[in-house]
Amino acid sequence: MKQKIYSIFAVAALLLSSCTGDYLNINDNPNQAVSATPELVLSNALNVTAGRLGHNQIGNFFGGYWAPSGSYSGFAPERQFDYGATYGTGVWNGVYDNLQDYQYILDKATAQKWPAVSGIAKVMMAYNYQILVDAYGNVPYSDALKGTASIRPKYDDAQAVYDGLVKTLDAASTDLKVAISGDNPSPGAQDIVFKGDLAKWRRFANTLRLRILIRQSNISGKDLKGEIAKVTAEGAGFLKAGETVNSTPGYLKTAGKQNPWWESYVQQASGSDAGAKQAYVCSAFFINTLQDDLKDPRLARLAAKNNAGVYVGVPLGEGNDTHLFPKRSWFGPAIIKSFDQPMVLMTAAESFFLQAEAVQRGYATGDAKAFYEAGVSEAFTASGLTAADATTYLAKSVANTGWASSTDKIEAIITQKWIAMFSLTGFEAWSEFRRTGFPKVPLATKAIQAKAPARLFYPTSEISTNSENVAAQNVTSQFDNKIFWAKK
Amino acid sequence: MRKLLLIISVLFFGLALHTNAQDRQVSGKVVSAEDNSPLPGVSIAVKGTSRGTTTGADGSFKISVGSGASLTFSFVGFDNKTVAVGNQTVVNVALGSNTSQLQEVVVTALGVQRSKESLGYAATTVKGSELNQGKAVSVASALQGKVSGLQINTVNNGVNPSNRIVLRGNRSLLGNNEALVVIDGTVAPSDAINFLNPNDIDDVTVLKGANAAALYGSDASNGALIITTKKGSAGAPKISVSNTTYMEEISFMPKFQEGFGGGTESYSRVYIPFENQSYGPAYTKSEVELGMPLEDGTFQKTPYSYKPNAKLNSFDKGVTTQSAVSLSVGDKVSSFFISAQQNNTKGVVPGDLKDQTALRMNASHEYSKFKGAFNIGYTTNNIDFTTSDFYNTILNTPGQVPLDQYRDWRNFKNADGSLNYANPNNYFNAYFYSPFFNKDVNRRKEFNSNLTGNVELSYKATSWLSFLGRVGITKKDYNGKAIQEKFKYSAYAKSVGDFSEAQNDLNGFASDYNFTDYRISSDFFLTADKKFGDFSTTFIAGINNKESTQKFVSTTANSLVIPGLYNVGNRIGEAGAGESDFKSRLVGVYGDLTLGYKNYLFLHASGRNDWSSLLGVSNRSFFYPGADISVVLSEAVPALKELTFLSFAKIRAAATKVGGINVGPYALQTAFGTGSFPYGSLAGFTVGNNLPDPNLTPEFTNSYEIGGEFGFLNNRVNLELAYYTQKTTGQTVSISTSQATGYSSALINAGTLENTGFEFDLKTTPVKLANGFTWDFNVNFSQVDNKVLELYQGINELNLSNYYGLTSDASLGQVFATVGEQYPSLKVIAYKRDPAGRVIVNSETGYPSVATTLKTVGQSNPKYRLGLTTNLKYKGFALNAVAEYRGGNYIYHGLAETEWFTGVAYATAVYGRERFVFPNSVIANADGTYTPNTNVVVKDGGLGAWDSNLRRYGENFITSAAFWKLREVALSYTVPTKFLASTKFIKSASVGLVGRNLITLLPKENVYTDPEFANTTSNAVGLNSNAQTPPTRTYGFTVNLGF
Repeated sequence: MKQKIYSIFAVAALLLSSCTGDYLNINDNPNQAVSATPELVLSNALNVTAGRLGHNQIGNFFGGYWAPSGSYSGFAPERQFDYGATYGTGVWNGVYDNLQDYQYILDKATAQKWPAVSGIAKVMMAYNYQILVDAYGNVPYSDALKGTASIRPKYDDAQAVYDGLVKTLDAASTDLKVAISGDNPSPGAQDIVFKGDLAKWRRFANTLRLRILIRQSNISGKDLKGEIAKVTAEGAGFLKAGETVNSTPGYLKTAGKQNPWWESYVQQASGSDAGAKQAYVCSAFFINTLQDDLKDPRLARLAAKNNAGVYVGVPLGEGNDTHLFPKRSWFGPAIIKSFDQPMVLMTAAESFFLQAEAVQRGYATGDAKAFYEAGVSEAFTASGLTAADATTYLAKSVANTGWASSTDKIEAIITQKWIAMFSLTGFEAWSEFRRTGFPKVPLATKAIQAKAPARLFYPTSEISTNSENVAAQNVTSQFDNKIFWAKK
Repeated sequence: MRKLLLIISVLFFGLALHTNAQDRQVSGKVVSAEDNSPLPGVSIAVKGTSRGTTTGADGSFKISVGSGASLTFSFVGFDNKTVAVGNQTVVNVALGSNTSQLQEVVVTALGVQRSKESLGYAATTVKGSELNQGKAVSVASALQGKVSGLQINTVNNGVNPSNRIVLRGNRSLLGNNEALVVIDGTVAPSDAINFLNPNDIDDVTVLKGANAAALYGSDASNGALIITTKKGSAGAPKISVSNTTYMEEISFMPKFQEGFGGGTESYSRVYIPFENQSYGPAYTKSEVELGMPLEDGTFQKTPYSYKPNAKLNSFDKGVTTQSAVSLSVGDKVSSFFISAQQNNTKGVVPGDLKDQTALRMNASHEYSKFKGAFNIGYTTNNIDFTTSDFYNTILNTPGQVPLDQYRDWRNFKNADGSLNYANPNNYFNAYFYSPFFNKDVNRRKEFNSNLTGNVELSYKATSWLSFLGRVGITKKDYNGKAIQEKFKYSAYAKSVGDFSEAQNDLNGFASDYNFTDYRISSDFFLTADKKFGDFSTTFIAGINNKESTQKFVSTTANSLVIPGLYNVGNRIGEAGAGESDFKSRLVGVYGDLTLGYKNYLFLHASGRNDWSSLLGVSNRSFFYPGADISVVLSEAVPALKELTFLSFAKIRAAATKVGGINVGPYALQTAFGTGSFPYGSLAGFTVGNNLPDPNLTPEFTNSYEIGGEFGFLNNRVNLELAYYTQKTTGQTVSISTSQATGYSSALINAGTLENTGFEFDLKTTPVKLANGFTWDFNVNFSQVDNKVLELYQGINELNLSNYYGLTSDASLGQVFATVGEQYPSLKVIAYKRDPAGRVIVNSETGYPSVATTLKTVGQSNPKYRLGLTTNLKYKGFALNAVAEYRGGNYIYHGLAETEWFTGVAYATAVYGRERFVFPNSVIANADGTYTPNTNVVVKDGGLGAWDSNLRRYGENFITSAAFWKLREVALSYTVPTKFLASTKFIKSASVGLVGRNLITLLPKENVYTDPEFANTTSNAVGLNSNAQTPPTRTYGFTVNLGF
């Protein structure tokens, strides 16, 4: 009998040693991919960058475009500027999550020596890092995106990050200049922004570099003129008329696949109202500026009449039944188009206003007035009006409309850029307001301090996971801890 | 089971006695006084001699005796009885059972039966009769309050309740802590217990610690419920039929304010007819309009006064009928048992239904040295329930609204041509859907089935060596369809309600899903059982192989075309589709040795090595050993034997290490997501956010236990004590990482959770009279101390609930694993306070502000649990009751937060909606000191204070989670057999009244709900919401017949 027992165990042991290997090697994921190619990641990364609403929504409020309607209570951050580390956490987490995808693309494309793809990744990394700096100031940069190799990334000085971004964009240009070939495949349709048109990518890169440089106009001792000369020397120029940087993967009328703006603010794929349909309307400041101050024909394109047939906005801060959604102006037909309208990364009008400012400030040569008027004209046509409408408008002797009638040219440039970017790139509008003070957006009526928000707080997730580095930044006030480029 | 007791006792104690030739032959039969069933293996001794015999399988015996002899009948679990033979040649004896005797047999791991005295760890057996005395619908609720160390939470109610079953607190921070469920030797998913027919249960053995369960492998670190179903017993066929009908009713609703109706203005109290918040003016009793102007120009009108029972009457009385039939039969070599049960439940939420059918077939047959057996249970459920937040709207509707009048909403107009106010087009509320409409249009219908079965074949090679092979299968299938009915609002309703979400058309949807969970487990082991003089040895060695497969498929139409047709084909837009597959395998080998010396010293050691597919090649093999010792002092120490008050004494100790794997399949690699891709032919991928350590190892739990078991006064008083300590190290935790790393979390081994506890079970029979009156009174008590010792470097806490941050409404209360604190630790957003603990308020507004850190409230798991059971028996009457107390913990009432938002909560009107000075508040002075606030009142005593401000503090919604519940009460009457004799065919009959949760006592501060409820069955207990409908009590009538 003992023999039998032994033999049973011998067999068992043999079975275990020989079979368990294959028998147990069944832990490969049958449900999800565990590796991908850079261009497959690119389409999603671009779609995420373009579809990110959070930072623009914050900008839409603090930049003077929007106010919450009276149909909802709450909104302490918007109505009172009362917010902390839980407000806008998606900006931090969403951007870094997105950056990780670009890092993956960059690493893979660099390893495979695909400069077209790595160049695009570099442009988009600069685009995303600028959002982080403009929202938070000092952020992890040189130590970021390294996984558990650096589990508590250290923070880089905001100015250093900006300098790094300028270098990144320069390197991106170098990559993007390499012609498409068998060795340098085009991302093609996976590039949902420019469909592999590298010249357009270079103009986008140059315009972005110009935006980053001009943002530093308040910094003394910065050789912006020299830096901008390098951008001009790059050769591809800046975004041209009609070259608004749009992104669409081919939005579908399917839940989660519509244009995210449409899906969040307008209508669900099922036809029901979007979750936030009645939450946000035009601010009184925006309506009043266009309607009363500028007599701007774009009002009918950018805003909608209320149920009484007039344009009326909500003063940021107010929120009772007087301001119920149907009683106030929602967004107009230039903003609300369809479930498959593209998302906007950067308006072409911005390109002209940046060039106008560069000339006006003496960083570049040229005709500031011409750039300004080209910007206004681009904004008119983008909103569905005509160039002729723009010409009529520019002929008016109203400050911040006609070039000649505008005593402060910078205010005119920024104000017109502000109108051009309405609801599309709200975060940029807020940044420019913080840099220049234009247009003169009023404080929320219920503001807890008589100051405008200057930044976001590092998010709670970062405080709990990278506490020492966050503490070292010493950010205590949303009003007083300004970004390095802000107007003092 | 008692027959099996004998077999074991024969094996262990060599009780088989010899018979000698004597003067006179006496024969007879020994039966159980309880149910007249024959008792085999009863020892019969001729008093004053060494002669004796044992009864056969049918309870009969024959013995030769001298004149004037007396026979002593003794049997494990029964009282001894001595009968003078006199002139009789036939002596029939009925033995009364003695439940408090300790010499029981316990089913331990692998279905191995061991005498309780030999066990070095805690194990408690609940017999089927004890389990079913209250006629609970589910096995889980039937176990509540009956066993120390066992905590069963019914975390929600409704027709398809969920349970969380935990033994001895928590061991894993983020992994599974629920007890392993083993049905007839086959490991089953923990929810398999919900599919069992309680009438089928022969007994449930609760193996409380890892020590006991280690042989089941790495799932066993949480202890186990070893469920044995009934087998056919030898003798005449027994048919039993029972029917129980229960009523279910809401036992209590939260406490509401009854003074103020609809309104939402700050600073003033204006009645708004269509408002969902209750911050309007005080009730006046005069008639007011309710809702928008209606299409025919009229208004719905109602007296502006509180309608006291409108909310309660919006629920139904539930009814459950349970019918069961079973047949049990057997002979010397075979057993056969079949049963069927049908449960039909109509829930308290109108329209919610569940029909359950449970079938069971158990049989065995012995042939020579072989024995084959199978045990199969198959249960199906048809469930139809609403997916809407029915309770939320009921709870939060303003008090002037005659809510219970809106049940019938389908018709736009009533029969008399007037408008039907219940119809969504006419419904008053501009923001919330009518709860009745909402519950009817949003539903889920599910058919699910559960098969648990095994076949086993054993071979008894020699008198001391046997082999057993067993293959068990569990298969769960869920086929369901979630639907939303299409509904289009009238143009008029849309025009008046333009600003409101509640007038959104419903486009309808149909979501079809299918989930299959299939597990197969096979065991092959040998048992060697041999005695060497005073030494006994039992050795078990075996191999176990488990495979677990899950598949989930779903398809969804988000917008339907033809109303009422719930098929994915009937849609506009793209169909949604999803599919996932999971498979894992485990191979284990184990050995188990028990050494006994002279029936009072027992040493037991076990070891098991597992190989798991879930871990990397270099980490997939792990070994875990255990050992325990048991000393029966009352046998070992002669001095103790002589103590008359002490009938039994045993001490025991155990130490075990068990490895547990708390990752699912495919967790070792970062997976790529597809974001919202594909868009048509365009694909897209995104790098996942979780970075797993590819070298993850199992979590190891080291547990140590000491205990004692004592019987006093002829076992009228029995006491069982246990103290344990467990430490689980190297936990698999998903730690949050800075998103700047590119990842939001990393899956690593880190963290230690310590768990110590004390338990006792006291069983007493205070009264036992000659006339048959007995009173049994049992107490069980558990104390658990669950502490987080360490987490990952520099990380002090892990959030167990979803983290939304400091100001979001959804996260006012959260549970954490925090180093140095009890697990889980409940924390809330709190008021900013001065050093003396007074609330700092603003000198102008009178409002408090948010403290910069979360306030630790305390543990969310009960620290103490006390169960009391009492049984009174007299003649045919029996009264049983079970009460349970839990305490030392706290709960966050998410439903209260919604009540403050809408202003229906009692607390929101304690100041009559007038401005008030915040109690015990101070105002900060410029110099850093604080002045008591005596005159700064809050800016607004209505919406401004209660909704906009004070609602932001989770500490307002915390209460003690203590409770006393009268879990079950059962009064039964067994009809004496003599009355049944005339019927010829009815052998037994009993009727009874049963009640569950008839009384719930809560601390005064808890005006909300049953603190046992939780949002989840996971570890993150301590938070509730209005997704759980109000607590209910049930009561009913039961009839049982035996044929």
